[in-house]
Amino acid sequence: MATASPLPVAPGAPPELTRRSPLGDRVFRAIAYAASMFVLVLIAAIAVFLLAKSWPAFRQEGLGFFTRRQWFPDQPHPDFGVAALAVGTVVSSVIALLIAVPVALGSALFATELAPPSLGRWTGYLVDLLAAVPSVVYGLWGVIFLVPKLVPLERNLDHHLGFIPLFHSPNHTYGRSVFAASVVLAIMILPIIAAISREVFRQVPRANREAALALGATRWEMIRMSVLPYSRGGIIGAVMLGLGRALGATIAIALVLAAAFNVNLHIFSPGGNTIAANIATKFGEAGALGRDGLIASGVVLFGITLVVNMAARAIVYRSGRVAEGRP
Amino acid sequence: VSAAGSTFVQNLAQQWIKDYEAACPGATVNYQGVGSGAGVQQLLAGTVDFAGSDFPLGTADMATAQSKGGAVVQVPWAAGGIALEYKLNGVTDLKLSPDTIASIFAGKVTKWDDAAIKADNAGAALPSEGITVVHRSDGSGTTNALTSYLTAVSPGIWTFGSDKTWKSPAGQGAKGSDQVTAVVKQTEGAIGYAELSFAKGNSLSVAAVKNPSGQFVSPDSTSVKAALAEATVPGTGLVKLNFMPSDAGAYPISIATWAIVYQKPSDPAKAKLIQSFLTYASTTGQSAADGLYYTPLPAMFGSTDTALIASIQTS
Repeated sequence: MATASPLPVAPGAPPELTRRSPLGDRVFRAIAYAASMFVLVLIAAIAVFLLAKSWPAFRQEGLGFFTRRQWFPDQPHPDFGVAALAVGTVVSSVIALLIAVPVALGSALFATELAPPSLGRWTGYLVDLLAAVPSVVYGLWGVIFLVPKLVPLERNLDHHLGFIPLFHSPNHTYGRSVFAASVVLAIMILPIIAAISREVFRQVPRANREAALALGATRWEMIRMSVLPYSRGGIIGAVMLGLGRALGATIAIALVLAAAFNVNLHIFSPGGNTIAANIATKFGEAGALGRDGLIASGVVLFGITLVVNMAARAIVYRSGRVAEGRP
Repeated sequence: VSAAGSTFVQNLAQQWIKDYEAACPGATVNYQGVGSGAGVQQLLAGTVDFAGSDFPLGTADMATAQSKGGAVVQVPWAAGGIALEYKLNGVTDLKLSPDTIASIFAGKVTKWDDAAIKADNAGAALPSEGITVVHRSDGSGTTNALTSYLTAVSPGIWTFGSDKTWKSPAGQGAKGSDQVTAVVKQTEGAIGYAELSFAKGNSLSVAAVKNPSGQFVSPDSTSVKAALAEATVPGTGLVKLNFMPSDAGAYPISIATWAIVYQKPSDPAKAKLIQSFLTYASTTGQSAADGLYYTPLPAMFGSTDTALIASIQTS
């Protein structure tokens, strides 16, 4: 493009860059600066608001807020805590990731590496379409259609693998379980992980692929040696966004999961609850302390999300150094 | 005017609104079944003009109401039976005694072929299915009424007291009477509770409950009315239910439910409309109750309701 430049540049003399800062640059710099500051202020404001509003609840329950399971804030003797909710939130999101990530990565690899371009595009569109379905629809679909269909599966797994506590349902009841909620969550976070992974895979330089193939790699070896390592940071980012959505999923979980305030590690047994779903169910009828308590549970969710995101950053950072051959 | 609250009364309230708006063109009434707990909170927050609730205001809520909008009027405006709806393959005529009901909802009886249930149902073939208790996950007047009943009839087994929030560790929650019913309908071995109209509308089986005369009685208009006839109705409208009716034909889990409105609504035009709608609901509207599996209020409520509705200040 340099040859098309109307301004002739003398060889050896670099163009004057520092003489003046054009108006456009200054405006751009100011807007970009303001935008990034705005985001920081916004996050700080949210944190301050949450902490201030939740203070009465923390003061009422003290450290017990983190260990109690019940949620009876508006009683003469308030007794409420976030233990069951936090466990339910994390467990359901982790199981959702275990289901969604292989499917999402598989579909993204199919679309970019295996399928003919037109078919790949179409599968991509269809997966993206899943993201356009409102979560309340997923919730209703889950509770009306999916839950009864999962019962025989859950019953069979309990029957044959019930010696593993995770698969055992103490009362032999099944249905609106953590597992069912996780399946719905998995479908909800599938499109976001698949779409980002697809874009990440497309960024892998053609040269990397061709080098692997030229060395005699099969298709799978090429994907394993050149596509996946190059995309690792992007894949982790995609998974973290999916996890973020799963942690905060509200109405779908409120519909599918049987609200019960127990730490439910029997994933086929109905019961358990999540922070976001509990806020959705209880906010309308909460009294003063109940509302503070729900906001306090929001602070805990905020904290969980922060920790998860920082952990992901650390992984991306480390994997970047490993990929570049540094310690 | 807009109102919100009890899902117990929802099916009947929708019918009243339809009929009332047809009779009085131009008037619009909007009722959202959000649960009694949420309805009361919305009234206290001033976002609705009146609330439907299956329990009267407690002392704390009453104090909040006083400071927000002054005194309230609590009008008993509908009645019905709380049906114990269940789904159990091959069983359509389940009979339950108070202690058995308490044991099931307390999580002490967890199988349908438990000896306690067998004792109530001599000769019936009960499957060895696990019992899934389905309760309300939101604050509910129906929960309050059921737990009040259990506290009254079986305090030794039901130790969780009466409250609008479910406190027993048994079972799984669902939001609103409609979701409770939907979950029971799709879960083999489930039992839940809701106003009779929800069970009937979804073709669910309903348990007959043993009353103090030793009779197993199913909820219907006659049996609920017989139980309500033994309630006491003071001038304040704060009905005192009798969960141990002496009438041999009475269904014991029968309740009345309230419309709660500020005595002096801020907008006189709305006050007039509320007064007119409540008058309609508590008089002519009662005849719609039977067809929807509710129960018309017994005659003794009439004068109390008239006086309470008249006490709403419209100027």
